[in-house]
Amino acid sequence: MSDIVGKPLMRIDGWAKATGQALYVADLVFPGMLVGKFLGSTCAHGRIKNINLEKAKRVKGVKAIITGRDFPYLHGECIINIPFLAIDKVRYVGEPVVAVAAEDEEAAKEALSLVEVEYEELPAVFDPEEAMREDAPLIHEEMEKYQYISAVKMIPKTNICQHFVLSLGSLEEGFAQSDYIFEDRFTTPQVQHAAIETHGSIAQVDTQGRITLWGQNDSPHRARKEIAQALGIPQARVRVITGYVGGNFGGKGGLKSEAIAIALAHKVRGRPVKVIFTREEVFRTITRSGCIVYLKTGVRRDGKIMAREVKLIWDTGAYAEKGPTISLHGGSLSLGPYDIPHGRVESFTVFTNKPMSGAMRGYGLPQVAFAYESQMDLIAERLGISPYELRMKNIVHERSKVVTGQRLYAVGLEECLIKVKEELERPDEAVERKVKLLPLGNWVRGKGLAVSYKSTKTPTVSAAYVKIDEDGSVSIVTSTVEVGQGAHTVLTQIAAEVLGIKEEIITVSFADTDVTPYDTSTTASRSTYHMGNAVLQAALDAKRQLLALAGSLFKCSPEQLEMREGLVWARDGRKMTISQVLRDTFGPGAGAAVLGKAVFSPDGILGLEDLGEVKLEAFSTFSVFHSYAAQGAEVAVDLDTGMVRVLKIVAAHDVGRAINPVNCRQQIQGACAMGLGFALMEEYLWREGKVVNADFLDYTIPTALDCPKMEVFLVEKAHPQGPYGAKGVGEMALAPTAPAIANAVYNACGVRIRDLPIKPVKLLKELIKKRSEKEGLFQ
Amino acid sequence: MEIEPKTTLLDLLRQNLGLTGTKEGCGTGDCGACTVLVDGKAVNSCLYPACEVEGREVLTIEGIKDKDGNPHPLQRAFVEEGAIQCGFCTPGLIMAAYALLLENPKPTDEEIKRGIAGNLCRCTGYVQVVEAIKKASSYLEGGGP
Amino acid sequence: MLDYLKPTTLEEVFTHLDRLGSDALLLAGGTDLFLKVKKGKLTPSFLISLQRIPELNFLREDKGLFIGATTTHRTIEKYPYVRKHYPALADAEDVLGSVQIRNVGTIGGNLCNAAPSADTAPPLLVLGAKIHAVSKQGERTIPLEDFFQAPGKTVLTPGEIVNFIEIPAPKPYTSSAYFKHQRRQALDLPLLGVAVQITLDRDLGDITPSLSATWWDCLKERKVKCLSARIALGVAAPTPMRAFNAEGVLQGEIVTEEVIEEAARTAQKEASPRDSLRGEAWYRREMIGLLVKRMIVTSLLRLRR
Repeated sequence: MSDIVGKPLMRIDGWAKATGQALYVADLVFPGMLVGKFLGSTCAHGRIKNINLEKAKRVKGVKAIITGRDFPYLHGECIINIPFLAIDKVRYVGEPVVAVAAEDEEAAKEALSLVEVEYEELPAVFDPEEAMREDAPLIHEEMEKYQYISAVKMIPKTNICQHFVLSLGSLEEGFAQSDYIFEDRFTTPQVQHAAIETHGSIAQVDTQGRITLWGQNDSPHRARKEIAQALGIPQARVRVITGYVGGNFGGKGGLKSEAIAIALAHKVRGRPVKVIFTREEVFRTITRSGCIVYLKTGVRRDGKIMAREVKLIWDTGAYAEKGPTISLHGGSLSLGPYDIPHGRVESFTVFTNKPMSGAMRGYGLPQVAFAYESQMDLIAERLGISPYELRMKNIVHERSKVVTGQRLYAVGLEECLIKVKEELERPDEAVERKVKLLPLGNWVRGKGLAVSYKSTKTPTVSAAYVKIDEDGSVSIVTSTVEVGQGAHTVLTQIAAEVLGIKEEIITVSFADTDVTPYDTSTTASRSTYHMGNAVLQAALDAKRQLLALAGSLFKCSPEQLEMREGLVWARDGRKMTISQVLRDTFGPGAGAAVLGKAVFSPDGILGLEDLGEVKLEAFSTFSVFHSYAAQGAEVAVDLDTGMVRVLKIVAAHDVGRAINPVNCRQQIQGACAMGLGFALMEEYLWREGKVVNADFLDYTIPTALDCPKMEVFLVEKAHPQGPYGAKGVGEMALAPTAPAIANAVYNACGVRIRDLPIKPVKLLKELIKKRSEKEGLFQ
Repeated sequence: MEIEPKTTLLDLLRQNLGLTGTKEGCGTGDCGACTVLVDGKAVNSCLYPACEVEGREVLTIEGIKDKDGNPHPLQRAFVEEGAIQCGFCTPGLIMAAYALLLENPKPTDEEIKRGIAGNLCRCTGYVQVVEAIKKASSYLEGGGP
Repeated sequence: MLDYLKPTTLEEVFTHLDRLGSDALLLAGGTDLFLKVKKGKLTPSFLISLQRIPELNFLREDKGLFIGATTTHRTIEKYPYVRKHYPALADAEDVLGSVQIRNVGTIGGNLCNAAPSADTAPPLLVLGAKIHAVSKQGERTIPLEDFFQAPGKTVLTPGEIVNFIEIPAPKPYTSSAYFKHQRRQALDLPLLGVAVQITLDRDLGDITPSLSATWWDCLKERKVKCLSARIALGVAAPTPMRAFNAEGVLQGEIVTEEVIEEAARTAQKEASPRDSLRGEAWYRREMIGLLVKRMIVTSLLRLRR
């Protein structure tokens, strides 16, 4: 019986944010602080012939102005190939070429406006399939000379920075056993996180050369490593601090504003440099990988999927950053949550002269999920069975094997799918009311559903301290970043549950690599599971220590004591406050502390029993846990304009254990809105590699009037290794949304759009084609 | 106070007055994160000339409290209803909601959405935000908490 | 360096304009202009704020409606007389930008910005709006269809500003409608804007479709004549435009589905939409045909008892 785990505890950071008191990096002001800004390349692919800084240097207030030559280091996660500032070559429009630090923004802007850069243009390539051709211009001429992680398998002398194949069984056999074969091509465009807070960092390099970085990096220890590695210095000389972050979704990992701030801070030794990106700069900096999915599926007449072959082409932009591991992750999931005996995935990650693609919520999953779930409905129709039935016949269950060879455990997918079907079929007055309010139009309605599953980054490690202070207050000390996902609240609940205390006396630290112990990252929906477990164990450790002390005082064995209601209880009813235990142990006036600690790394991974001795690679395709979800959408389509209105979204997610149900629901609702945008209205628009809709007017994310009611249902198929059985929720939550909407649109009007987003102009073109084909039949 | 004419109300608040509760999300009036009230009306402070504020009353997130100096029912409702995730759009959203409730103390769901349509949120999907504003409306009706 | 001037009378404004010429720009709400100045797209040396001039900020009913140039969109949006008699304008104000923009942006600013996408332009065009401009030299009246010269340019001469907009009282049996076709439901510019005003020769009556008769059948039977039709399009040409030929198809005719469709097709041919970031020309043209018909129908539905 849980006291606090499973309860919808209000966010501990809620009040700070509701009152405007929560500080984000743009709010921080330090004495002597300078403003840093950068000038982006206007050339998509070219050599830098000359940079003239003479006029810029003379602007009053300018303290430093630098180019890539002044700071010629490279950083990166998968491949260390990203310059802090472009060195001799530019590879996308918007790439930082010159950076300036000045007393105020006006001076910085003026200086940059006086910089003259000459480029020698090189042929550029913007389409990944073109970039794969033999005659394509090479964006990284000597790619193999970079340092890169073992998960990267590049093809030298090409633009292909990652290539791998996963296979299971025999495709030949599978297709031979199939009665129908479906071949389709789907694409998803580059889109953006569009967190409401733009990127920003403050960096300071002291006279000893020690770097301090305040900012929003979602993985402070990883950022510290990337910085230290790039500059060839020990990690101890780098301190990364992350406070509140105004939305991340993967865009604030790696070094972006950090790189500019650090480069400038080195030039103006001692003075902090604050770099805050404008909204336009954010759009020109980081995107989600575009993807081309070739999907070939063999199905038996009775609906059983026998084989699936996937070819993936990922557009990772001009630099690798996380492109190679995104494709590995998305690729390993690209057969879908289905029991398919024969499968093969071949994946290519390709450079193009566009802003780099990086991690964005789902890490490759939304792209492949759109493809496989769209095709499922195509298959269902051809076979004459319902989309629900086709999925029920094929979805994974306990111990199903996926294309990586791993067997799945704690699989709550069927419950999710059944729930969504029920909810979609239920008559809903609210939806009917909404339909009545639709403007004049030729409306048809439809429903669609989709399922998905996701793994998490493996292997990783999380460490935590739980300290109990002299008055019984507790501090949780970890490097998990609160980006809005509610992580700090969940960790508080876990500690409160273990120690039997109220959440009011618990604080959670911000990440500071000088102080908070190692955590791989706040990504991949790994925090509840990994850091949750670390905090759980650290809290248990603290509890053990405290009860050992109490045992001496009570003169009994610690096993006979328990902690609840903020007190330590003996079996016979005697009790003591925590502070009393500490005071009596350490002595009056001495102060006190109990320090619980844990380093959590999953103890063995479930499901690898068939594979013999497994050595985990960095960024393995195996996973310590998987999350599952099903979603459904009801839409109205105006046949005469092609406009789609989403009337309702239902989502059923298997989260293992909802430590904070409200938290889970919040994440899922937000993700559905993001999925809606992905499905209907978001895409980058280009002209020769330049982003032409780099603002919130023309990069349209959903407003309150675009979002319908979103009903969330939580399924709890506890994972034996998760803290209280919990898995993860945030990253996977938008994967089923876009295909559910696409399937609903198809159900409504019979048009299947295979290239996101489903814009009215695309839909109308197809509707008109359909109409004229139909008319043709009657001539 | 002496300022440059090009100064926006947002800059005036954040830089000159050190009131960082109001946020900048885009600088072009397209996201509402910078919403404050000028003479009781919600405006995008990133587009509002600071010079125009002379003789007018500006209300920011730092200034909304109930009659006893406690946090405003809107703030309480936002926290209670789980309408806050990353929190960056929250001050602007609360101010837009404040303006809405001033004009329309008992809005329907649709009216709420229209009232906050100028505020972009990437975390919540707006669902709990609408619930929070409804709850706040009921708090205010009852004379507040 | 920028100087910010806050005159309180029209005379002061003219004095400033006289003295400063093209070094000065007039600021109403600022949601378009101030942004451009901030971004450096416009570099005036002076901004003349019109926000403190009472002669420019009013709404007056007097055998028609008179709207001061610096009246905000929000004020117009909430004015019952507008909603009752000029529904097309109310439609536009309902969907323009966001509440925050409407609280500050002004109708005069919207028109003088002269973007082909100005939401208030098509409605005002079909409502027969006239611009009353004033300068040191005197006043003149400009019908709105003659007001826009090119994208971003009006016929106002230097030293001349918009004083107020006059909208004539609607004749009996008149209604109007405006539709903003946009990519999402708020915070957007139109892909296409269509406004229509229709005047009939008599009551439309209580037309009710039934199992045996569609709405179109009922309408045909009623044999109402269209005395006046005005159709205006936004983002279908370099400036907001009236579709005069399309109007001619409908005007003087008995209103039937066929006539309405012919008017819509004519409007399609009259317009010159282009490809842009926000939409394709082809799609815009399709939408012109569709939305002109829909807005005529909406206006008729508003006339139904």
